[in-house]
Amino acid sequence: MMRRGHTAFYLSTLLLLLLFVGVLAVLTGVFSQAQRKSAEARELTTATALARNAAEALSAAHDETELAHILRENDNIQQEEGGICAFYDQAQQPSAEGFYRVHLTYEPQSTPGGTLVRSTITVETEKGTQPLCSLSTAVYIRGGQEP
Amino acid sequence: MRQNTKQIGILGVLLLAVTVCLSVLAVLALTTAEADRRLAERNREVTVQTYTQEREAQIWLSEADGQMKSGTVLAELPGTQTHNGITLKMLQGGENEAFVIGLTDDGAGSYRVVLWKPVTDWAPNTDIGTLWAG
Repeated sequence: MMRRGHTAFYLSTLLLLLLFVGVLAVLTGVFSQAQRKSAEARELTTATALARNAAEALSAAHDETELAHILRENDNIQQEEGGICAFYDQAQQPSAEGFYRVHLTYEPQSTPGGTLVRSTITVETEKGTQPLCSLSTAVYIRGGQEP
Repeated sequence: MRQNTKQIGILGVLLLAVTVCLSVLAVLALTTAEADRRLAERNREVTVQTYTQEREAQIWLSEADGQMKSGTVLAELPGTQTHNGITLKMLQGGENEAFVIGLTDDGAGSYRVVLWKPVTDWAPNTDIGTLWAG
């Protein structure tokens, strides 16, 4: 009688613990999904801010050399054919081997009054294959002077 | 036997309380992260739209400048209106968005940009639905 009571107790405890472990497994999945979404949100926000910064740098520059000069910090710039690549770490700080890669195209076009520079800015991470943020902008430089 | 039943009851209640607390935390964490992600998406959309409008405005300015260089008077630029000496051009963007550019004659045969801003035609929703009259 005593032994049967103990067996029932152990079985109930085991059942409860198994149920608890099952619930914990489900909750771990939910927490990891939340963590993943949170990381995505952080990366997207940072990428958007970097794209905006690059667009403002383009507006402030009068030519491609000046644009590279504005963006250059901690040797984070690579000049490429028809554009510039800038690298930033996860804290948005310029870094030679950054996590974020900001690519700006620089397409000047002569107009009767000056130069219209069109640019496409793309931000991607070192792990991602798809760009996180991509925007097109332009700046008009009147007569080669300040816009 | 009675002692064992009591112990399993305490254990059950304890595990139930822990489970409920963890479940609430998990749901809160997930909904917060999802809201953050949606906000980040919206931020990206707005930024892309803003710079698309900026690009259209810069292209229009380059064309207008070219027309003025070839002799067109500021007030006669196509698609513009003049108010209080300011020549205004409105470029329609999205559904309720536009970009307004204002130029004035600087008196030396050139112009100054005096207005350069995106505008949103926002109308508050005044329909509050059917409320309980009491």
